[in-house]
Amino acid sequence: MDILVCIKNVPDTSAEEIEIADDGTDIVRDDLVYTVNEWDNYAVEEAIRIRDRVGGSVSVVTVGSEEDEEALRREIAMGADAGFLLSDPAFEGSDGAGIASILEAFVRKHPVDLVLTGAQADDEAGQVGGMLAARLHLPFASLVNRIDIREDRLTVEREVDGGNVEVVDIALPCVLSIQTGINEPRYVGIRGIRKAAAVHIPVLGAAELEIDPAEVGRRGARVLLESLFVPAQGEGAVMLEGSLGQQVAQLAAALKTQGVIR
Amino acid sequence: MNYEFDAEAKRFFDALSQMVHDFSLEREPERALGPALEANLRDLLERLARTPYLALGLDGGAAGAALRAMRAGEVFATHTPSLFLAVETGTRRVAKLLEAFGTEGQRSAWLPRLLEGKRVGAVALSEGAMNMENDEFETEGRREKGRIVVHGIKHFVVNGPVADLFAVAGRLDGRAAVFLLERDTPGLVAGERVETLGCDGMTCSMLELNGCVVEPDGVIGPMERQRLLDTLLRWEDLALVAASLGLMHAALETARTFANLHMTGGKPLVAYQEVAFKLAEMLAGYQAAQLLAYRAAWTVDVSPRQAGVLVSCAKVFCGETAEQVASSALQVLSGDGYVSGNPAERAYRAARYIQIAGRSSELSRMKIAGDVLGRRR
Amino acid sequence: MDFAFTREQTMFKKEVLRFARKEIVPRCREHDLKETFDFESFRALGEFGLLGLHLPEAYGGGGADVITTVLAGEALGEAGVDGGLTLSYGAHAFLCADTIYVHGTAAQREKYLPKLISGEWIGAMALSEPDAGSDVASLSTTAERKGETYVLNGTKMWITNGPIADVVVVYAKTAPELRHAGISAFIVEQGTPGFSAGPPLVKLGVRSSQTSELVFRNCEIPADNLLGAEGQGFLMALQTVEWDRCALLAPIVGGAEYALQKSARYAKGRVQFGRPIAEFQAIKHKLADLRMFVETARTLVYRIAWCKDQGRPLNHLEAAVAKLFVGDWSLKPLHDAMVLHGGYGFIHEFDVERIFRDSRLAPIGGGTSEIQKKIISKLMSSQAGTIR
Ligand SMILES: Cc1cc2nc3c(=O)[nH]c(=O)nc-3n(C[C@H](O)[C@H](O)[C@H](O)COP(=O)(O)OP(=O)(O)OC[C@H]3O[C@@H](n4cnc5c(N)ncnc54)[C@H](O)[C@@H]3O)c2cc1C
Repeated sequence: MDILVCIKNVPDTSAEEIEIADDGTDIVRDDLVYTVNEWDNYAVEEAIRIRDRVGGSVSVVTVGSEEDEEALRREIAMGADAGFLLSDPAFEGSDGAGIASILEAFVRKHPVDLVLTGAQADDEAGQVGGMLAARLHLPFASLVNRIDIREDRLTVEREVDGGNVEVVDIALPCVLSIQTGINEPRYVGIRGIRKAAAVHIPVLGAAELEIDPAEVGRRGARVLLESLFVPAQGEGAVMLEGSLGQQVAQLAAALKTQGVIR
Repeated sequence: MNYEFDAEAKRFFDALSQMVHDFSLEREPERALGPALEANLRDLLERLARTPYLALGLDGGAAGAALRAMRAGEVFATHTPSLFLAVETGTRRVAKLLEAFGTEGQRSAWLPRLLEGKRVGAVALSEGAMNMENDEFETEGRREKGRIVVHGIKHFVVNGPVADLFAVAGRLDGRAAVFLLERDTPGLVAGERVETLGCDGMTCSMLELNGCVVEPDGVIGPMERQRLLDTLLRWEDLALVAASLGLMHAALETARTFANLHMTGGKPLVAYQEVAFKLAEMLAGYQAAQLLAYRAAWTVDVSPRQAGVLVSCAKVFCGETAEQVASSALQVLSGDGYVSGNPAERAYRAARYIQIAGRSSELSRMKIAGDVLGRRR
Repeated sequence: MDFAFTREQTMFKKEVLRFARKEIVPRCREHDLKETFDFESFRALGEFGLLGLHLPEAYGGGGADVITTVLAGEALGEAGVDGGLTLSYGAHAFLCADTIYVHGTAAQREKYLPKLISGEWIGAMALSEPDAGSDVASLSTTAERKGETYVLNGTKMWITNGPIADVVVVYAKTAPELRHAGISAFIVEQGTPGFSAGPPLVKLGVRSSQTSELVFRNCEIPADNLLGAEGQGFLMALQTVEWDRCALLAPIVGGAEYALQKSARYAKGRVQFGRPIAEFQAIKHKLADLRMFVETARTLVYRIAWCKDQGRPLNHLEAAVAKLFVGDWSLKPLHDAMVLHGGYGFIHEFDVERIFRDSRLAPIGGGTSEIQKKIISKLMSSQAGTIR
């Protein structure tokens, strides 16, 4: 099975504090360290496991700039076979639909049996997978946390509200957005990194993908980010202080007095 | 990664070292008095102009220039810290300023003369306080009939008593600007050389500007104040760091030689751990400072965004370590060190200057902490 | 001159940080507190590929260069891994496995390296003795040749991984009348009759690493367990210094970076007198001083790594400077990081007191600060030319 995983390079929030830029339309990106979106690692891991079981190939693709190539290399080091960087000044500032249309153009040129995305990325919109499926006229399942392969169909489990599981049967080719917890993504070792360093990563722009520059990027975007802000502090929050043990005791007491637990 | 300079760079450093060494032997610039102070600076500038030294970092930002300048400066300052600082914080800083912000006309008028070592430059920045970061400039240019009239008082102007060209920082149109003034400008009064604790071979004075008239083409800017300060302080800090390395080298070498030769209780001094271990600590401090300085300078060339904080780290660490190393050297040298006129004693006094000039240790620490707090949770 | 890391090196460092933060760090506090060894983490290090990172792929290693290996050590510290685990890792990978790799026969390598690299076996190195620490040449453990065996007698002290090791590289005298030239190295396996380890010693820092006395009483080992030739032991021990001065120092530098990040975060969140303490200049000074230490220490440590990658013999002066600097210059800034946290700084849960305690091994283990000064001053006074 040939599988394509769409990935994104995002600020590493475990190491860095995110601050909103003065003009309020972006975060301060100057000194941020970037890393592969956590959800995407689960998607790539799942793709690799499927390939190792049934054969085929795993490709990873991202829409971004030169700096984002490192994210592709990391996933190749994990075990993906090939990486593609979709990069063009015309792509900058794309909204979700724009990204989906760029990816669509790529998939039309490099058809695969299965497209995976992470359930969401740093902007928490979770929209690209669904839009991509719609543009490709492919069936789509979101928040997938288990995949079983049956010939030309898949049985997938979806995480739905309240921890319930929904099982769906879906025809290939299709698009799935992958939830964390579907597997335990492997780490990348030095050998993988060394191997990935030698892999050529093609860079494809609007011309190669036959995309009308006016349809994507800032020009084509129909959803624009107006502003980002930290909401004013509300009332009623209680900050717990002291050691972890003390905090837990305070929390338990509070939950009891509020009647949440008995 | 590579922890070594290439062979060509090493040859350049060796030749420079030899030249400045010979000059220092001949002139003893650190002991100069009166007219010799000016003559030494002018003669050394002319000799330096025959080497690639003066143009370092001014050749359109050739790769690795700041790093080369750092090592070259270390080598230079080992022999004569005073003249090194006079050349760097006076002349070369004016050239840097012209290169960064000057117009085509200003550059062609002044850069060749500075780089040929024919003119001595000076930067007038400090006012009531040595560090200008907390206060507005009081020196101000006012536009009058198409010209600009400058009033103000500047302190601690290195090369003040001898410079031909003054780059005077001040306000214009509510922003920052630099006024280029020649020595004979009416209203420009350079004060007498002030007596200082250290850097005996360098001159420094006050500068008064009593309605000096500048044509518009004699003004660099106006521009954003912080940009001007950052550029001026960046190159001053780098020079001060290089100077501190030179001071450490000279002090350490003097103490080491003495400890090997001087006998007490039938043994050379170095046979006593009290002395030997002191020398070891000095060397460790020097080498640590040296590598940090090289890395900071290297970063200036390859990754300017990170350079600010590393230059500040180097400025504080090298300046403070220089004082410690010089102090230990004096302890080793004992009575010999206490007698004026030896490199360790000179280094000890000059190290005080390193820590207050440029961005002072205190302000640099604020900058470092700002970086630490800014980019981390 | 060039201080840049390669893309692969930076990528790998990031990956080690990611791995360590998720798989190792959550257990570190508990093991430090209880002074227990974290076998689970140790195996995870093996699985991830750190235990044999620098050793050839043929034995299951990573085949990495020294700079990459040192970066990995720094990343462990920076992620918040305790100094006990990083010391155990260091003693195992660099003082034990590396010695077997460099000086072992094909059979010895084949037998020990794969299991040491995977983490199935734990390695240790035993040089110091109750009466021979700084003065290595005066060690008194003996190895006497008897037919096809050597018989070891003596006591070793402060041996990292001693109580848990499967394989120990032991230095003993085959010619007791000689000093340096009489020392040889042997591989001793756990369970060998006559070989026993004392109970773990209670320590100020690096508490999750297990340190003990090792006793050899008529301990008979096959003559094949000799490493290299008789009399080469001292040179072998000296060679481990190459790793000691970079790979073993790096986690301490990384730990200081971790303390810096923790301190910055704490200073921003802790409000006193109506504002975050980060706004007080005295707090900023502490942060600046710690940053200066970290940046300076890094340049010194990577110089040793770079030289080793160039295949040059160790520059003993530079190595001693790196060791001395990390050991002595870290004291004040790491102490200040603790004080910056106020009362919480004194409490285990906040990690900074642990980093402070762990760092105190740096001026002692593997050669004290005084010994570094002894080396430096000796080299300084013997140098004919000028200091460069
Ligand atoms: C946690 C820990 C783990 C260790 N792990 C290992 C290990 O795995 N394997 C191993 O072999 N060893 C290990 N060691 C031992 C360590 O290497 C020694 O403790 C160290 O070399 C110092 O030796 P010593 O303790 O005998 O001190 P001593 O040599 O007795 O020194 C005592 C004091 O005298 C000073 N001194 C000694 N000689 C001189 C001199 N000539 N001039 C001036 N001052 C001098 C020292 O600096 C020190 O301050 C470990 C130690 C510790 C604490």
